[in-house]
Amino acid sequence: MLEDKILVFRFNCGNKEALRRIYEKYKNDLLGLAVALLNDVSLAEDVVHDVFVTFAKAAGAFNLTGSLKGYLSTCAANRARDINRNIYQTSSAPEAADGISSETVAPERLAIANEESQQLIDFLSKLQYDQREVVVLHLLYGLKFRQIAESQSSSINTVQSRYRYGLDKLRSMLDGEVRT
Amino acid sequence: MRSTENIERFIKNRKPQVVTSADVDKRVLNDSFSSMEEAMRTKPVTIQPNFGRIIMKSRITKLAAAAVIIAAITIGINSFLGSGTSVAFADVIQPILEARTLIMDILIGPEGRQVVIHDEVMGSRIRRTVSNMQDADIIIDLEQMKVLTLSGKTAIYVELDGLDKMPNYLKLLQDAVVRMQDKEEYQVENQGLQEIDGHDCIVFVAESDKDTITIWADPETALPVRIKQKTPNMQIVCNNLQFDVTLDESRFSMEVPDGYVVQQAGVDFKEGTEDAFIETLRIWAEIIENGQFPDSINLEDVVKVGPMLGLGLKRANLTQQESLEVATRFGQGIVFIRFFKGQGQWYYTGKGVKLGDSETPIFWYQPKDSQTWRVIYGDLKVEDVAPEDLPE
Repeated sequence: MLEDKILVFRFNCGNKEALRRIYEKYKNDLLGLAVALLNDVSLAEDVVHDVFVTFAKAAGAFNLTGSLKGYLSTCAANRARDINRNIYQTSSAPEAADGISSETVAPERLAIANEESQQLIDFLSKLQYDQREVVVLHLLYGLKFRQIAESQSSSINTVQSRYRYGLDKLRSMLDGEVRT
Repeated sequence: MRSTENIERFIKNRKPQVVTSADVDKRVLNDSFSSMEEAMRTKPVTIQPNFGRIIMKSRITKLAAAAVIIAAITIGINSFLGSGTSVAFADVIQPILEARTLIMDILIGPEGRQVVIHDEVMGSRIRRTVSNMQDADIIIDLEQMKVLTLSGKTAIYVELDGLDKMPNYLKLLQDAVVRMQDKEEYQVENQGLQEIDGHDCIVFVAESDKDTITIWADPETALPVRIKQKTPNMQIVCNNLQFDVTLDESRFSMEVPDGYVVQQAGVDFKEGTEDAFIETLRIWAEIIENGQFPDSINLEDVVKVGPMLGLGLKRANLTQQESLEVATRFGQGIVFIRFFKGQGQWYYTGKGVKLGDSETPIFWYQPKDSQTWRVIYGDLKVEDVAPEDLPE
């Protein structure tokens, strides 16, 4: 937290090395988050790219109020949501609303995760997107329900409900009792 | 049926561990740097600090930073005189041995760049003022190994860990002199009379392969009036020495008067490691020098840097507690060069080098009993380097 504040200070002074260090520090976390949300490495890389390019545009005026990791994670989630929405709007396949089918992803692009992580990503991709987002942000990236609610423009109760439904569905999948 | 806790654990244990490719890194950084440049061009003055306001509000931060740094470089004269002398020196220093109190000015650095420290010594306590922070009173308790800095309505206690307690500072000097009499590495020369401030003084020069000590003394009373120590990396002059001056004991109290805000920090002299020093270099470049390393890091630079560090911490928008933490880390690394334990001297060439420059060496030294040298680069990585491969 303290290191991040110093880095942000240097970043606001226009120091590229500070931006590079912020990128190095959080790039893989953000990529993992985007992969968990989109189940597509190429799209996830685009998310990371867009998050940092947008972040860099704030240099000189960026005001960090919470944690930098939380801020960047929220940005990545917002960008992934936009991408998912665009895909839904341009796709004729209704199931795209709940996420990008893992079958559309080239196998070599999925080799980045180990087998167990891949299993999780596959399960997550079967959740409704808003449920998946809450589960991923809260459980894997430590965001509070309040932060997620602000990011989704929803109430905390709604976010907590999505979390419970998401977990229930994952439990069903794991127990081999996938509900329809 | 799995419980909620089991499901949560299952998910947490399978967090995707992915890494970006080199191509992605290059693309993201290039585009981000371009965006950053554009942003800085279009809004270069967006966060220009209001320095007047900062200076008013940063008193505590500035004081905390300076207090920790002063504490880290403290204990000037014991190492100063503890380096060596001879019987001839002991004769001249005899008044020190018998003195109950001592007043002196310690000048650090070459002429023109000097910082002046004024010390009043009584037993194990020293009351100190420093020329670049004249509104602060510093009281050093060498028995408790604690430094109290008072300024305005702020009090900073800095604990000095890892140093032997000194029940009586002057007694310590006496012991040092007695021990030094047996040392043979010093060649002492009586250089006759020399005029100091209109008075003739007898001059003794003692030299070893590492340092030179010069003492000017009154030829009639044998009282030293000036002492200078020059080492490869440092020059200290003790001037205007006065012995057995009557001093008010209350000036050496370690009690904080009522109404002060009290903060605590610490410097561990056992941990003056290379790692701590690298952290100091990083903070110096990041917080004080706008992303590049300072022109020099000599002792006078260290003493002067306290207020600038305080200002930088305030500009970085750190809380008081965070500022004290950074200041403590900064001071911790200072111990490495202040009480350098390597062979010979250290070399610093960081002037103009930017933090992150992986090609340019900025500091190198030879650890004790090592055949190779440690070289620190602008990106703060460290390499072991053979003597023939050292930077020129």
